Amino acid sequence: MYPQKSYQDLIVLVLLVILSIGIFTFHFREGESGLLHGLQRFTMNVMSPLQTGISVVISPFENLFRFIGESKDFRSENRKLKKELAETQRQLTTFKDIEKENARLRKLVSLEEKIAFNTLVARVIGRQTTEWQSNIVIDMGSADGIKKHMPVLVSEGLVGQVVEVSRGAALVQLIDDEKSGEAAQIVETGEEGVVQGQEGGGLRLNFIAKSSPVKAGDSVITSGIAGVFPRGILIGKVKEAKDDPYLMYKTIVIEPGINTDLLEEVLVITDMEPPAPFLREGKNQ
Amino acid sequence: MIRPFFIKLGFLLTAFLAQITLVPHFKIGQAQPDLVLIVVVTLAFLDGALAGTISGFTGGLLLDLLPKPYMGLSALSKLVVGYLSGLFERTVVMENIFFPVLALLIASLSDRLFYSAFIFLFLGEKVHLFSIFWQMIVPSALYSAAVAPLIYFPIFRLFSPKGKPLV
Repeated sequence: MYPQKSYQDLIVLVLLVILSIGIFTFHFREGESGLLHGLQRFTMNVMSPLQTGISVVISPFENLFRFIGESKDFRSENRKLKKELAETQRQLTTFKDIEKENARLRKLVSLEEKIAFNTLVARVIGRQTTEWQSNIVIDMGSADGIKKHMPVLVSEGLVGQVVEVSRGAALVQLIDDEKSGEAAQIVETGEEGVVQGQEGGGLRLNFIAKSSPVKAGDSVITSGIAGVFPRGILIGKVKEAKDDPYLMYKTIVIEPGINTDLLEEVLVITDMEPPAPFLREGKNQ
Repeated sequence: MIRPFFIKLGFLLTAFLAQITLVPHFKIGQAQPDLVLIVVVTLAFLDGALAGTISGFTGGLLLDLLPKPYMGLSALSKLVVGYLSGLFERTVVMENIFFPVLALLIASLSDRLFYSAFIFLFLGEKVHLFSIFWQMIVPSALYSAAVAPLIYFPIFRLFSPKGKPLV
């Protein structure tokens, strides 16, 4: 027999479990204009000035922690750069191959198209990175002309897409969020597929045939299909391409062109509104 | 009676605000501590299962107010961890430095695994649990465990009755 206090604790536990599941179910089923989604947008709006202020104060101390986290990356990047230097020196002696590769890249990568749109500069004031989401908060919102589904990029490549907007802030879903998806093209081979985020971070390029000659180091850009993102924005480079006998397509891992942890300012394209979001089918935002 | 309640609520709100404003700036790789969970578990060890359940629900719900899918799931995972932590009220050595470290390691792993398992089992989301476990869940749990004494001991000293028996 449980003591009475234990019974009371269990009753409260059960009630709160039921309440939590009720909130979860209601949020899952209601539309984006629903009460709970509106409450989340309101919270983001209220928190954004605080996040902006803290971001300004804390940025000098942040560098120390970035150094700790990236020191392992620095060593491996150093080894990688030494190898790349040796490889580049070898390629320089083969002039014709470099010329052909240059001509093919110029034809496919239309950089002027990338900067043909109006943009807004926004500051990153918050980050939400868990196993299940990879988002940043920017300091521009509906009052500045920001709308949902607007593409976001930096000079190094694609950042993501606006998914929630409040009056003074907006939530940007990063390209390595596991619910994101972008139509993409391999520059060197011309093949088209879909880049999707993976749980825990990283990118994968799907729907590339097993016979594809894609190799590590090939560049992946947005293809512009579906009109979600302009064509020609760098998404990243192929890190690994291998065949799995149990899968229909090649398994391709992409190294993103941007480091999402280092984003400070971003560009939001404001005059390109896609008709529909290019997200994975059946997933809520 | 009422004043300690508001002080404890204040700790929870402070942890929530720090979690969303400060913590993202101090990630180490993919790892970040869960300050809200640290406060929930501390209150559970101090005041028992009921306190753990209610503070877990409150802290988790605050985190769920941020724009993200699965609203309510953080409240659910934290209230369960808070309840289970509260079952150990007054039964373990609470003043040992290793206690909060070990407790938060287990609590953080449990919280994240519960969250991930719920998504996988009940929502049918495709999950690469192995890679998430080693790349994010374990490093974040270790980070939470390392930070735990900085939060646990001040709260413990403030609210623990004198002469509290040790096992």
